[in-house]
Amino acid sequence: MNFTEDNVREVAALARLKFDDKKIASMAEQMDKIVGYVQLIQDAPVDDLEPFIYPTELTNVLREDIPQESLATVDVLANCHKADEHFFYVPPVIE
Amino acid sequence: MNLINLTAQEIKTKVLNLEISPLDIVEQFLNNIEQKDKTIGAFAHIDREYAEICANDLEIRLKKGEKPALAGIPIAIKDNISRKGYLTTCCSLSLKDYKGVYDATVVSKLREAGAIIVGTTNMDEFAMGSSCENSALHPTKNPWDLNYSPGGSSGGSAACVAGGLVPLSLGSDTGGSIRQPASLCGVLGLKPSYGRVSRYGLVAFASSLDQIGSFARNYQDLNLLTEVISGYDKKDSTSVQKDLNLNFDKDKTITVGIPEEYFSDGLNTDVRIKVEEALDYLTKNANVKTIPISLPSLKYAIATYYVIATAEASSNLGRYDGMHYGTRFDGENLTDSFCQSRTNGFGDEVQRRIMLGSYVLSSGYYDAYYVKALKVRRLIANDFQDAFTKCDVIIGPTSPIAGLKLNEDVDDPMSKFLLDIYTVSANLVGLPGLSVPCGFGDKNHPIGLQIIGNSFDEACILELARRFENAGHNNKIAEIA
Repeated sequence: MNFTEDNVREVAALARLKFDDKKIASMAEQMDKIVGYVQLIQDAPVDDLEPFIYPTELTNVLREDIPQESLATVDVLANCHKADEHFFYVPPVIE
Repeated sequence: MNLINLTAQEIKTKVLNLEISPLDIVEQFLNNIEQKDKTIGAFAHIDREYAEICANDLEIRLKKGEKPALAGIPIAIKDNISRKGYLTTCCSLSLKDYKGVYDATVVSKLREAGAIIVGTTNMDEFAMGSSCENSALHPTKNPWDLNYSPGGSSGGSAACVAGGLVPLSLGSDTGGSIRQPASLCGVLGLKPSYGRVSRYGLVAFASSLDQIGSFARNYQDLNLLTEVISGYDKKDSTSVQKDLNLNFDKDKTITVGIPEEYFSDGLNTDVRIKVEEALDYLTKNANVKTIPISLPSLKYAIATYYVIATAEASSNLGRYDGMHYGTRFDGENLTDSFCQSRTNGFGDEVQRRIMLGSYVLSSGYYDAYYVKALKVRRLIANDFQDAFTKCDVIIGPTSPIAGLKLNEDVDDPMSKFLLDIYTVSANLVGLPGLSVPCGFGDKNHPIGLQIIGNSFDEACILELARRFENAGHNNKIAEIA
């Protein structure tokens, strides 16, 4: 097995997902197939190669520090589950 | 005057000659969309109000004598491209009520060019899938055969152009999500070079692979839209300061590399025949020379792609926690609310990909999977670099199949992954790729020819599309009852 039900529980906790026992079993089965398939890359002859992260060369883009218009608070809060005039409402962080 | 089957260029000409008004266009196209889309489900959201705003703005500009590049052309955009004040849901329950807070750069460019945006198109949730069946809204049907999928993830964008609902649309392509549906729907679909089109306002799936691109029914319309949306944007740090110049020497012999790996086992016979016929046509009629080439690392491409794409996706989708935006499902405490919101908000395919991505980035597996995949990505890039020392473009099939039946293999996640075999490499390396229609298979399902160009050489692949025009596969519209 490349991917067990315990693997599902561990990774789901990292990913902030929560599955019942039935879903854990089906997820383990599917992930086992997928992880089994991606093992293919282990055979590739890449010891001397550098990782390829982006297709283009990324360079720092610098600009003068000039104030510019940003998103309006009212627009940003408009998609929130619950908000008041200035703040997002979230469940208690410290109990 | 019936405008529905006109090309984008023809509509533009009539609008600029003041033969038709932008509001006439809205009336005809929206009526047609509202009626026919009940059959194919290409749209996620049809926005008559927004289309009328676009048309009224254009009317004022026309009266001032302006002649914008896409004047009056109806266009649909994929549901992962942000428009201020309008639904941008990525066809996910987690964003079902989300309205854009700003316009994507491509939306600003379309508006500036006088296009009429008629709505957003259906897609696999967060662009993850190859059949449009992973949409939380509804599946889209292929206008050529309603029992078949239009492909994905930009299936709605391909289907609405193929069915004659609009002449142009925008999609996004992370591993083939423009080219594969273009192939299955019999239209042209271009994924430009990475960095060519700003991704500001495109909801991120895999940031080193995602690219916005265009669908059309002929190369002239495709060029028109590509010219409008391309260009450097300071709001996208990965966009590149290179001007798009589509002028190409029409007398130049184009050397086409034919990779043996694209014609190996697993390629449907109908597809093989049509692609070989297209190559024969190009050789005899289009000043094209073909040479055999090899891309030996193709065998690693899908595995490499799925490690990198899911790793980036698991990070990008970390933001959907139900707190700042998106659907919230309350739990017992803060962490449980995160879990409930994400588990209930995401569909199965998205969850699987987040799981794989989180796994390959997790402690103990990072080097073995993620870093290893990045090195294999270099190996694949080197193959293409070698190939482009010998040829100008690479041609093969877009998809290994000629039709994708709806509701098939839904429980086998690997079966759809493997359909991306010919398309993912262009994303891994950042190359431009175009799917052009090259005929129909025995069951009357469209087949696409893929032309992959060297980095930022869209001009060459679009020139080949021009030379292929007389083969007679452009401007086909599927009849929708």
